[in-house]
Amino acid sequence: MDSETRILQGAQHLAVSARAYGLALRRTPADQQVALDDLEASALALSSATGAVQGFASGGAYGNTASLEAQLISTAADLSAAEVLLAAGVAAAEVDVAPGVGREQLLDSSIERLEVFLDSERRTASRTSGLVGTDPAVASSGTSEDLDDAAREVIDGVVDGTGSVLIEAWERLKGMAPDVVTKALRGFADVVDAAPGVGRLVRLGLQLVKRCLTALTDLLPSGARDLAERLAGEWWTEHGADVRRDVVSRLTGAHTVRAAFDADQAPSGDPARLSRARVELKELAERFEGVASGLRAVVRALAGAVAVAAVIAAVVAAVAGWLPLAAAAGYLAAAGAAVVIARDYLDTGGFFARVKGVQCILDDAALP
Amino acid sequence: MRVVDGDVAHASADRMLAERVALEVVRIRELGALLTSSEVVEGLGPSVSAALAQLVTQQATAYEGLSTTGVTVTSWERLHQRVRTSDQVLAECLAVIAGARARPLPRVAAACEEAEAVARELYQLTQIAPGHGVIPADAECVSALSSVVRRRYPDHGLWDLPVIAHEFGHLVTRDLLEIDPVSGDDSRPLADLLAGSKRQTAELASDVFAILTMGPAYAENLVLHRMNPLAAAVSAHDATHPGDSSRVAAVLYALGLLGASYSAAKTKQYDFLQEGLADWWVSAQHGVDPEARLDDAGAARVRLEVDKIWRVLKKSKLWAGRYQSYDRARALADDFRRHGIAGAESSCRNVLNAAWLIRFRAWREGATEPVGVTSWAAAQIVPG
Repeated sequence: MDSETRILQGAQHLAVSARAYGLALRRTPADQQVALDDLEASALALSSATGAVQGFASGGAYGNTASLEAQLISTAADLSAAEVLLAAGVAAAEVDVAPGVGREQLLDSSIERLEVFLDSERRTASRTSGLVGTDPAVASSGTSEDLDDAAREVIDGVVDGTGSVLIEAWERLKGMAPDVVTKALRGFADVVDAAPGVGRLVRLGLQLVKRCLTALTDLLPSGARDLAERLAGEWWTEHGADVRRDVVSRLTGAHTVRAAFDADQAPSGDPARLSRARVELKELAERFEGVASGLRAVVRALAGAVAVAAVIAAVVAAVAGWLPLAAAAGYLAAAGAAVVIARDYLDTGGFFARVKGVQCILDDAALP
Repeated sequence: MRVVDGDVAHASADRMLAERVALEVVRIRELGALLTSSEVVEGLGPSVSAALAQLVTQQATAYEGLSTTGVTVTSWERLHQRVRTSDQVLAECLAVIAGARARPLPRVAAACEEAEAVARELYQLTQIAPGHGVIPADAECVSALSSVVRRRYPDHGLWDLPVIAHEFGHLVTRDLLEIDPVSGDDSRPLADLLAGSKRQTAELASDVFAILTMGPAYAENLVLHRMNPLAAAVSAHDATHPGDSSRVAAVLYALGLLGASYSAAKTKQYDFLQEGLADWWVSAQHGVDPEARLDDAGAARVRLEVDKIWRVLKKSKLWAGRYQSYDRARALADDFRRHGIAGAESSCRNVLNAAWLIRFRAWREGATEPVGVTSWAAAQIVPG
């Protein structure tokens, strides 16, 4: 069983356990205790599956062998699970909440969101399995014009994909106090360090949120992380009333690649080499969409967890002091990571070289 | 070329292993030939015999992957692991062949036909496990290898037929495939739920499936005929089945969930059965060791597992096939009480529930069960 299947299965078990826990809350103390143990066991099993992908077993996320996409899925799964655990903690009255908060509704809607996340990931997984290298039309096409078109499509796709992550992050950040965002921009890792704990499930949920924020900032190695913070800061400073395409294009370096393409002739050479390059470009575009989709899922899942944690923060001062800054850092980290990773895909510079980007592919294709 | 002692020893070991492998393959092919013989194909039906023959061929092929040169301890371990696996397949094939050979015997055939009628109805509800006949065996079971359901022979006659739903449930938990209407993607929700859990949870899932599709008749059958009040309430960790008191608690709780799934006017229609069966179980356990009684925590664990399984069933396509026609069974039972006979009924589930309701009422009233119930019910299940 691959790691993604194990994670999705673990998240499914957690959803089922959480539903059963919701029912048990209306029954005897023995039912509640058994269901609580079961929910905790499901959470720990999921956490073990996601931790293996995020590399926590070996002491840190960066440097592990899991793909970026797998790390993002595991982080999003953890955040969705954290939301459910926080909501279960609220439903179990581990913490007081403000009058008018529907404890059971909060749990139900959290589980529904986890189930929606699961459905969406399953669909993505089944769509992407078997895509790569299966399109004979792409593989057989080997003209330089085709390659030029394909490269431009990748650039557009990377800009759009990056923009889509930024939009998700911006939607959450725009409602936050400006000084919180500014403070978060001073260093993502510092503000997620201390997660306060209240009650058994709430503590587990907050620990999971904290772990995910660490995983998010650790997606990139230290040099790239600094760049991500700088680029996220630039983006936040420059954005207007919306996420602007020209800003995204400049931050990712896409505008310089496009300009170079406009100035240079399309690469010519061996048709087989051109054809192979086109397949590589198609795979690159699909892979970036996977990364962007993962980052969007992480931002959405973080927003879900933050929304439930905010209910707790309304009455627990320790959580109130930590949550907004940690949330802002998480959104900004996702935004920064999207830009840095995009630069890797476009070969426009950074400290993060995980893929053979557009320009390298074209350079190889043009070799005599 | 001079052969040194060590090489001679190695050559002998290589030959010994190679000949063992060859002999195993011959043994497997012998059974393969038997499975494709006309007598066996006729007894098992073409689809089952072809599926088993394919399994056997796969076993023979698997031996080809074993290296027989440069033999080491690992080579012997691999051989014996392979032999253990192929022995399981051969044992299952032989059991199915033996069952199929016994099936035409007149009294056995009648028992198997009844069970097949129930299995057919379950197939119509689930669209899972089509076209497999039922064969006799010393215990009800179904093997994942052949997917052939066995009816215990002899058993308690018509009263034991609801157990077929439990055996069918094992195939359902394995094969339930849900298709997403939007994307067309598929998933196996029950298999996913049970992945990594104990075998006992799979047995509970089959019990819950049997309640879902068969309704009260399965609970009555299990509690009154099959469970041992003296058995440990909670089984050992490595046991295949949950403890008997755990299963009783599970089916009664699931019966409550089934009742609660109906419209308001019907939600309490199984309460009298739940209460009656629970009372009888408690009285049967009078004076037994405390280990045989399910404590509060044990009961809570059972409810939790049933809740989880029920949730998956409720979201699946099986939900539409849940048993919902107890009023029809009640009407048939009332007819029997008034007139000593009931009308024709084509649904096995209604017939079995009617028969069990008649029996339940007789137990509750301390009366003798009316004459002719089993013959009426049997005639409905296998007409003519």
